[in-house]
Amino acid sequence: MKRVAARALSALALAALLCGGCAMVPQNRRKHLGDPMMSPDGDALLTAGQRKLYTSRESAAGGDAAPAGGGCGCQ
Amino acid sequence: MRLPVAGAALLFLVAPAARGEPVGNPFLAPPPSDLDQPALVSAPRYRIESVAVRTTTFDQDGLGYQSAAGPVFGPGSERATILEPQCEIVAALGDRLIERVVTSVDVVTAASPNHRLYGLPVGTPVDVVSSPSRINEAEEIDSDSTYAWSRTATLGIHADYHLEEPLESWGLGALATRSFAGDNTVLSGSLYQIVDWFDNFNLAGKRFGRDVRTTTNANLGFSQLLTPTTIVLGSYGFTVQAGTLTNTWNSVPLSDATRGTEVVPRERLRHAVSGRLLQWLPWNGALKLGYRLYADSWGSLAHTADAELSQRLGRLTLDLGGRYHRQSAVSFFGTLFDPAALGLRTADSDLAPLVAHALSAGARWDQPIGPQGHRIYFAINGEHYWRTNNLHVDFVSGALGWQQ
Amino acid sequence: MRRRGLRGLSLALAVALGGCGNAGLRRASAPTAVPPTAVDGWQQIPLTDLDGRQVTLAQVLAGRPALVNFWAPWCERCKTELPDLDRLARRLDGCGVIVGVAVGEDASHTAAFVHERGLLYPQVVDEEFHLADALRQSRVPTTLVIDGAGAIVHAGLALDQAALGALQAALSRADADGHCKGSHRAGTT
Repeated sequence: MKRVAARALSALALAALLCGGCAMVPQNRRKHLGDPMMSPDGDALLTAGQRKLYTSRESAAGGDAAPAGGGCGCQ
Repeated sequence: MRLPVAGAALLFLVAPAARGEPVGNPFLAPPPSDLDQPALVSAPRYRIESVAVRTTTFDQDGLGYQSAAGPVFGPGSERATILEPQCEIVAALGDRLIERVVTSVDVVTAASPNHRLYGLPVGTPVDVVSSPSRINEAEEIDSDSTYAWSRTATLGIHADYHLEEPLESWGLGALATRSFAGDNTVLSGSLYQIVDWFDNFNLAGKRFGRDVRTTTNANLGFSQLLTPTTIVLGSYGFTVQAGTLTNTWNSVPLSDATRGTEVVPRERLRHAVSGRLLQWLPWNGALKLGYRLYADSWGSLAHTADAELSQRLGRLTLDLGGRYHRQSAVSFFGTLFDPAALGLRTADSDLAPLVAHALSAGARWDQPIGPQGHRIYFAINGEHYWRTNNLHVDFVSGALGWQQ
Repeated sequence: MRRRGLRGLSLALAVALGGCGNAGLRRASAPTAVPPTAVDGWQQIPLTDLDGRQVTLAQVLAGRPALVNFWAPWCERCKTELPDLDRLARRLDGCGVIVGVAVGEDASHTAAFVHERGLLYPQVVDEEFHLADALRQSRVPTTLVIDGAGAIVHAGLALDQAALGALQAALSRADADGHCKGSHRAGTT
């Protein structure tokens, strides 16, 4: 598991490195980026319900900046 | 429900005043103009930005070996239905502070049918946990406050309380975001601490006071604008859980035709790393792709991939989504155990090797009202979720909301 | 293995952040509208009016002092300012002019938005960002004040007291030069 974690961290760092390639999108050209369809989490209440379904019915949780585990009796 | 960092940063964007960026994308946190120069137009002192209500029904059916509601050696029924009304209010205080409050209620029928007395008339103590095994109500309130510390940084506080008949849970979190390169890059970090305090029943129904478990979760994330139509995001989460990491009344089937107590480790370390790509499509649509790799100290390794396609047709927005999840079992999973064997054991189908699929669809209608740009919306969503180890969940959800 | 992984992560993040222009890890400076480049003929750059006809800023300004507001319908901050700009425009009785420049939008969408809000001051559309790029303005809202001679005397972001003061000064100069007949006022709204 430690090896997997180290590889995961390295992959994230590599992604950050590749993405930091000086892409500069001027603020006045972000019309589409701010569209509600482009929101990472979409409808917050709907996403929360889906997340609860997946985390209570699978072993995996987290990786989406949300706490992984605890908080309910659905163990 | 926990508010992720992305969602918390979204709060910073929802307030219309003093925002030079469009609402909806949490990683485009704009600089409130009056942090740098006094603006002619100042925000009202306090205003409601949005109100939304949503109701979801989950209909679950399947079989699992942790359920005693079936044959002696299992698998037993995992039938359950859940009704979940939710309410969300987002408000802004001046130009810097946004608050979000979410309340939800879960009404769960057949919450834990893990005893062979399942099926007796309502009112019979079906399970060691009495009524929660048949019908359980859970209430939760979440609060998130996000403060624009400067043009490029936000700070946030999260607090939540969850209450159900056998359990109470408290959560506290802090998060921060920092943008760089003209807000093209945003880094985020968050830390959450959750404490669960719950009844300790054995399989015979005897209560031994209360037990506790803690969950500590840390997250790092980034977002990067690649083009005027493309965003990539990445996140890593590390979680440490300690204490009684199971419900004490969970059981496993034993080879002598009885049931034994589930025994799991008192610690669990979890790692998850994910990436997402958001791409605007030129025909007024959007494509979202995501992948997550998960591993924990209980031996489970999981891969999850998801995709969502959105299309706007005038005031109507249609969504279509798919999800694929594959996981390996935890190292101590089994479907039958030796009564004489001591050690870790679980028959929880959620910890079994499985592949899960989900297909979802949704529709939303946005209706402007008045000349000030306010709007109301109606949404309906549905999802079919199914696992290869004999479980499926259907949910239908409807929402009504108002936004400034 | 873990130490190498952490070092690699730190290095990668440092390079990634440092690579994103000079902003990098330094504290970002306060946002200001970039001082406009005195691009020759910027007032002659072809734009579009709300009816889709080609027009230039020179035609709209007609030698008058002006407050030019770059905005976009998707920009929440911009939308907050629109009613104040409209009220300001009504108080400028002929001497000066308020002009809205909608960037990145097409004329029909902008027209529908403007008519829905009941805005009466002149609007032009810079769909391909030609004017914004020529003046090196990459943010919305952006507020420019132009005097009667066509020079840009103020560049800022949101509509603020500094912009109003610059407009007041430009109107006073135009009045003193005899280019304005009658009274004018550009006070706070």
